[in-house]
Amino acid sequence: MRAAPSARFVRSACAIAVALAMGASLAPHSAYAQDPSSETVGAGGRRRITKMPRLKAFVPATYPDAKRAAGITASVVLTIEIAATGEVTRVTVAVPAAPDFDAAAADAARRFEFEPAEVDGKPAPSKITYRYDFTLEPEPPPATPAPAPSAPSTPSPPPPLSSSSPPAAASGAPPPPPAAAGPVTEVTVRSSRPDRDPVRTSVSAIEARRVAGTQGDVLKVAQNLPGVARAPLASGALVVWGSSPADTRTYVDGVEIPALYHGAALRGTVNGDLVTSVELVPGAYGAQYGRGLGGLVRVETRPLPTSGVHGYAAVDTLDASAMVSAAITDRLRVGAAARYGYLDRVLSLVSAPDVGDFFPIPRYRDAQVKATYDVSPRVTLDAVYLGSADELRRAVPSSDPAQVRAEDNASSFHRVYVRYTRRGGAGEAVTVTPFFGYDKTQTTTSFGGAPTHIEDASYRYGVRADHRSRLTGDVHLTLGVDALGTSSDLARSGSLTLPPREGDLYVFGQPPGDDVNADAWSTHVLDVGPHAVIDARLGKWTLTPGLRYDAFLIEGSRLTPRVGETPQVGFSRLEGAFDPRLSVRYQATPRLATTVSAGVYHQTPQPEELSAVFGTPALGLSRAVHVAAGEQLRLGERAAAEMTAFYKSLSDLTVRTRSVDPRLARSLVQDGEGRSYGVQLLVRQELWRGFFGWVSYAMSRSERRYLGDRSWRLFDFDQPHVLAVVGSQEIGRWVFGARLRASSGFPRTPVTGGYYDARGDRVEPIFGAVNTARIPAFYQLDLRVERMFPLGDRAGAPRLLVSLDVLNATFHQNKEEIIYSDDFTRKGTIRGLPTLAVLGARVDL
Amino acid sequence: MRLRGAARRSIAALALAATAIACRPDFDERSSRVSAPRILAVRGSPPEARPGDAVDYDVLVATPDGTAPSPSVAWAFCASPKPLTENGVVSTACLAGGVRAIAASARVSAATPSDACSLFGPDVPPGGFRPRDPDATGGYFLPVRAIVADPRPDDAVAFGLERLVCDLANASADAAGAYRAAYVPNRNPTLAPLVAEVLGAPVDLAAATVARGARVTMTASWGDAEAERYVSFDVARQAIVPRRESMRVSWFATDGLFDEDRTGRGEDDLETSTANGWVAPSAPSQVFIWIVLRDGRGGVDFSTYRVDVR
Repeated sequence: MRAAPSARFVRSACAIAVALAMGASLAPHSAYAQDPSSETVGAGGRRRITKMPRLKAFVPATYPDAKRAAGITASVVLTIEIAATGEVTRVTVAVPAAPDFDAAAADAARRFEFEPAEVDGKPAPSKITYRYDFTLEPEPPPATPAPAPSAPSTPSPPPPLSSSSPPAAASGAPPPPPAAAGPVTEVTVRSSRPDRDPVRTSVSAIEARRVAGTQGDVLKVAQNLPGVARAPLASGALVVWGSSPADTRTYVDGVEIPALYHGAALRGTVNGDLVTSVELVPGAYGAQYGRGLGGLVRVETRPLPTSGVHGYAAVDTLDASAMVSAAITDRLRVGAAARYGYLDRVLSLVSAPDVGDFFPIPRYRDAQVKATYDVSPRVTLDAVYLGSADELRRAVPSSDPAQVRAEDNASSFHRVYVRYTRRGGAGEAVTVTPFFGYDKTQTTTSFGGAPTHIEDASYRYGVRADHRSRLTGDVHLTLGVDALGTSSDLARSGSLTLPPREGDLYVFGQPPGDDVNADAWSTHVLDVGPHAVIDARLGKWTLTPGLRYDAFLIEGSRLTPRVGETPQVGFSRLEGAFDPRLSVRYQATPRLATTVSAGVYHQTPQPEELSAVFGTPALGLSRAVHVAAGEQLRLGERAAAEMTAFYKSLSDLTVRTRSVDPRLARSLVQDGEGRSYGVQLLVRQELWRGFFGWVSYAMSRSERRYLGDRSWRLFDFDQPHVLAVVGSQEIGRWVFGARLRASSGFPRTPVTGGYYDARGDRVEPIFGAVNTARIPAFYQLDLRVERMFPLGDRAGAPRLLVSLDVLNATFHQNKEEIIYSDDFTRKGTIRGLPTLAVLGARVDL
Repeated sequence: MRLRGAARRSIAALALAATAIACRPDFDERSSRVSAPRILAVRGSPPEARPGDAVDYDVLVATPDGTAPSPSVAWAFCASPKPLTENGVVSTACLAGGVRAIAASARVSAATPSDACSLFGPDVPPGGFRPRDPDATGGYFLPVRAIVADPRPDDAVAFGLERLVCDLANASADAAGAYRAAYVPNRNPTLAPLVAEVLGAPVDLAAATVARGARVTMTASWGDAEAERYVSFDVARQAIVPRRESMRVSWFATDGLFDEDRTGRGEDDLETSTANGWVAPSAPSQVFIWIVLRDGRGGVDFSTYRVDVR
């Protein structure tokens, strides 16, 4: 009698792809680090993984008797969390097979022993994805002593986590599933590290994609981070710590881009699947960055998977998008993504005819390409292309030629950059990122009989380079240079007051002033910013002094307005600015830290402000001083609370002249002053048992005044209270999310009366004190639900994700803007969208 | 499994962005309705003048009982130029004390201030000052304030804008010379008598009555020469360019309902008339109708009609 086949199983350690996720980081001493293939020194100060976790004691799982008897095999994908001691702290089933298989695999994995991961040579907690294969092999011949049916064979040592091992051949049983890497897996390593930008919030792409109300767009999470005011309706403006949106800079891999969002903030301009993290630094940032009085938004592209072909295709109410990546060789991998928006066509079918009058609904598209080549184990080359385009056209006909309104906007940007990264020992690294770009914007409007045309075509070029070395012990020195040149050709005609500037007397819906002019000019602004930063860890203290010097070359084609064929006289001048920066951190206990940071910042005028007709060619640098202080308390391994107080002082701000007899070529003057101050609180739970979320609240005040004025006025973007509550819970194949936002309304200048303009046959407003009224407060609850459907039984099979985002689930009609009757005797409000449901489907390959 | 029609439609509806959207409040206002004393026009004759030239000013004040024959008006010249931070047509200072009083009378004749082209025009004193910016037609305007005290409108303060004959700013000598040679100052347009029709049949509004609830098609017209051709200085091209006046008609009535509050013809539209529909009130009454014609350079004409509705 032939013996019954014994149960043998072969476990296989999975190839773990090295697509890393930047983890959410709350307390500055806790952050996710990147894998060696994508570290960039100087771009957020990331640490280096020096050792991956290694399984040193494997525990075989017990094959479920019923499944063995039935000859059923399976694969179970587990998420294993490993402490810095190598101990397994938590095991969850990421991709289940069957309850008994899941339980057996999880039980065995809990008894695994690891050598922990290391960051910069020091043990650090980590999380891995591990696939456990249950396969069957026939009993050996009776002549050979057979192992007991329930006794597993001695397992071969598990292969390193960076490689995959095929399962042993099985006979008399269904063929085992292929031992290729399962679903795109991640190794996330958490480590303690000092921050050069202590006041920062970073969100991983995994979490960002699940935030309700963002339609799965990773970049939109920035709007919900502490320190960010709620943007005006249908604008992608980022108002950070009371700064003008134009003062905050956005970077992708250290390369500045002009816009984080497409028009109306419907989508980010970079595909979220190419993003590993979004980081907001609202102020007091380090010396590697400059040229901005506001904050920083830093986006890092994710490392491409090192094996296989991956991608996705998605469609929802807003747009269609796709991405594909492939490992061409063991050193070369490429990826590409694209998106095309069509919401304008969708809304025209279901909405009120005049919705486009108040909510600009653009057509947008974007594309990205990334290629990574591993020159050597320590040297990596990345080549990236970013492209984005927006168009908006709307027209309101009228039987009155003076009431015909039309708007035609087009904007686009392109960036190409190569990033060279070389890693040495002991945290040393060199990155060099030369880049080139082209931006174009074109706006033509007609409103109230005053046509306006603005056109700006700019070439941008530059390089960002940093060299980080260890001086001694825990003291590191980073020397770098941040250079950006912008060569612009501009043309403008029409009203001086369209668009209105901060400080102008203006009410929503008012036609622009009928004083018109025209100009065409070109500018070239070059900034070379060498900088030095020291990271010194001295016991409980971490000191990060930095110094940046910006040398600005500001050139223009025209110093005075054009007069006939008179040869134009241009200008060229050099300006320099020393910007000291400092942050000091005191780690009072392993859980409690105090941070103080401060710095000086300078900003050049915008090319459009250097017009001899509409601006002032002689404009110089604007200046700001930032001070921030905060306490960070780690509540647990994955939870933290943080409180930060901040103060910003702004000077030499560019404002429109109030003089009734301005000087020639002096429409703008640097007579503006500003200040912003406040406190923000953040309590956050990082991903734990499928849940993550945060509560952030900020209370602040932002003011402006003209030099010499005694009293301050509220800044146009002052928002005293901003609350955001975000949460997401994963339950099996379901993900549920909610987002609650509440904020004060923006200030507005009240209209107290009117007078009749007999030539225009309309009533003009008489204004009260500037910004002494306010749009009513805003609140909104957004909900998100997502369901995953596996499209196959094997691990790594494609899967379908269906999601539903419901914005404003309570149907609350928020008041978005104050509007008056034509005679300004009655006041009302424009209300926002009552609700918007975005249904989407996505297939992950 | 094939989805049936209803299921397909449901899924399609679910997939779309939700619901009808109400965005803007409805103030239920019509600027064509005269229910209280209102200033409908301020006219300067001539509508364009040089500094020092005399100009006659009058104002059209409408009331529910017809045109106010001799309104009490306080006239003044604005004396404060507008700073670049203000978006209106006049400086807020001209609402208060920044004016030069003329007289208090229904109609007044006054000499255009000699410094008008420096206060509101391109003339600048020595020292490198910025010339004022013209409007889209290339013109500069002197604000003339009229405060109507009796009958007192809700918006008692009105500003007429007298176009100024000034030199060009930032233009070459050749361009300035060509401009002076070619430019023809504005004249007030002349409204032709209003043409009215009911169901295609002509109606003499002055003599006939109009049935209650009747729909009347009214056509305002002007002569070919009223939409004057003129030249302006194109700053972008630094050249003199030919232009043609746009013509706008404002419609007002004490009762009934106009289709449009304003109609008109743009610069490139060669038509010399514009039509509007008016629905007579449902109750017998006497209705006053005003038509105000404005050309693109600030010229004005107006007509009044009394309609008996039976």
